[in-house]
Amino acid sequence: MERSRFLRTVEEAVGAATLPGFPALHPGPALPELAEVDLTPHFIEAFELLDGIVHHQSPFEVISKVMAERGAEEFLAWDQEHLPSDGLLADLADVGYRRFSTSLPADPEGRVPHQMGYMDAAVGVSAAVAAFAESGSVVVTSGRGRSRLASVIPAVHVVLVPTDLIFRSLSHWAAQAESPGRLANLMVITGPSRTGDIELALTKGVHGPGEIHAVLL
Amino acid sequence: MSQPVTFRRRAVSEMGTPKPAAVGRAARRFMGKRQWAVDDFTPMEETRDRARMIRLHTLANLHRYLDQFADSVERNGGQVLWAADAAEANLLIAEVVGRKEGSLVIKSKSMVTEELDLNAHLQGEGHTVVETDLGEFIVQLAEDHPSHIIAPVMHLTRQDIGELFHKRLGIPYTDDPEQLNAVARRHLRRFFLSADVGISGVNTGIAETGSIVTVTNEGNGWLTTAAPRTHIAVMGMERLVPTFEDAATIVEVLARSATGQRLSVYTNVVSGPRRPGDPDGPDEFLVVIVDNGRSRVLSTDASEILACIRCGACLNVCPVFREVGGHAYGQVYSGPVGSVLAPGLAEFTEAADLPFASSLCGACREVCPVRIDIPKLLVHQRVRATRENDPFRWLGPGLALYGQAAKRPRVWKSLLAAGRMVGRLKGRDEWFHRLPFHAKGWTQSRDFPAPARESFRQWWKENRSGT
Repeated sequence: MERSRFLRTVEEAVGAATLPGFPALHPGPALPELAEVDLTPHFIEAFELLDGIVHHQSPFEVISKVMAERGAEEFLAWDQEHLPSDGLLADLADVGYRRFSTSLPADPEGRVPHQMGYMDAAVGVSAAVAAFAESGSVVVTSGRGRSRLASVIPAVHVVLVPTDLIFRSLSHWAAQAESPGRLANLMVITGPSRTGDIELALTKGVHGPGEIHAVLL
Repeated sequence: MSQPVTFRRRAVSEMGTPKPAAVGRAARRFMGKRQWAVDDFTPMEETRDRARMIRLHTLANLHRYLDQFADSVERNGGQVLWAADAAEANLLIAEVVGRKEGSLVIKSKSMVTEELDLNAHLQGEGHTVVETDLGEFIVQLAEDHPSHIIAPVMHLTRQDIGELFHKRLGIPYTDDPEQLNAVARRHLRRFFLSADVGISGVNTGIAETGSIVTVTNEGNGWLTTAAPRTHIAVMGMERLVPTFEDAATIVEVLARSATGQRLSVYTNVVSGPRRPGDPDGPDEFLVVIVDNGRSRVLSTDASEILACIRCGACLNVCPVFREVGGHAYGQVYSGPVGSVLAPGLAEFTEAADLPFASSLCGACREVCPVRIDIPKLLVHQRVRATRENDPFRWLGPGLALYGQAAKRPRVWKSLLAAGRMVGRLKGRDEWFHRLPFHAKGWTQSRDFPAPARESFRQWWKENRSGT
């Protein structure tokens, strides 16, 4: 159907609608300014409540340990310039871990064979552009050098979290964040992948990573 | 008379199986979790108020926000398609999917595509459609229908699912949820990475930024929108909010009300196809905006129901839903919200009995994150059903007839005398266990007292008069 005709039908329906209250008004900004508090301990508490694992060591130490525990050799990662840990990828390469290229080939036909290669990656490494103390969430985005699949395909996700990027909650961040329309994808991750679909028994890692590690910087 | 017994008949047959017990158990556990999240989040009541205002404001300006949303999507490099009804939506989607013969389509959970019966349509055109939400995947394997908005296989036990996986996926029988989960992960992974098209629903669209927001706990929603070359988002036309900040409010109350989480595990904001330089993501992004009866609902007394954010909390607290389960409603949307929405979306008569499947106790209004007055809307729908619907046509004339009889003492007395005759014929048993014709509905769930063998006046005359 044409847009104009569709919208005309909606407009007529809106005219006949019986909505309670004063729906003409938008409620305005969500939240008042609140006193500054150190949000890091709150973030750690909320993140651990979801079975996330918090680290204070260097990203290199954490990733090497996780790789070694799994006997893994390949990992997915964002480009070095988007990881707030200098020389991390070079250091990992030095000890023999291979980074799987996350850039799709130019030929559209190459997409599927290339992505099928991700099946073997045990660990994905990315960095948070924001984190939320209330819910223990981290935010990752798409963009140049920032693969989406790196954070969702592997069984283990290691996310680097600069503590100065911890906000109170999603609402507080959204009130001041740049428009998400600028980026193709913005993902708020709150704990490991989970499902309760079978008799509400909580199981982890159904499609996304079953383990999430936050390395605080 | 077919309609009023439809819900009842389905309900009775559902109650005869072990399923509703599983539903009741599951619903009560959801409620417990919701309580936890509400206590935990201090400004919950204020956030609910805000969410309600956002939703009502959007509905009151829906045409403007739809227009703005479409502009924003196009600005981001996406495409918007408009579908008046299910047939048109299916046609538009099939056109995109059909650019390649025998496409592999992966889907993340979407109630609106259930409305469209999209899977059947695409499969009919020779494409393979794989549901990726664990619950929906199980539903698809079982060739069943979801029974709850957010927990589609609430009606199946782990043994049912173990049996199903054993039969359909050829694995050794297990009823351990961890293992069943691992089997599904392995099985679905290759579909994710090799699919041609990903189809998602939309929890909320953002007019200002042209983004769509989906929330999942499993991660299938993210994979569906990130791995295939083409992403089609199917959105009910009312699922908009003005700004990103508004969307944040909505997903915060949604997660708390649905499953008692502070946020769902994956809150996914997609704004168009991948940008130049992005290493991955879809090359193509389309939003299909679906009316399918929504503008009709908007123009009635029940328009407030379109403020619903599909959390499922009203299902979990509903004493009727807990007893009969989702399938008894016979519609895509069940429970209190479905009882208002379904008769509005479909031809009214198809679901005209659903507004009566409620005790109007008000528990749904109490828990609704956007404070929809569902009992009031149920009454509106009942009024409409009574006015418009064949099955209730006898009610008015019936009462008129009663009025005529009650006004004429002689007629009234002779009717009572006829009743007493029936009472005497009935003998010792003072209850009817089965009544014929229209009256049989009464005796399906309770007995009807037989008329007394003598009237009070008679008794008085014989025993007390003159004393």
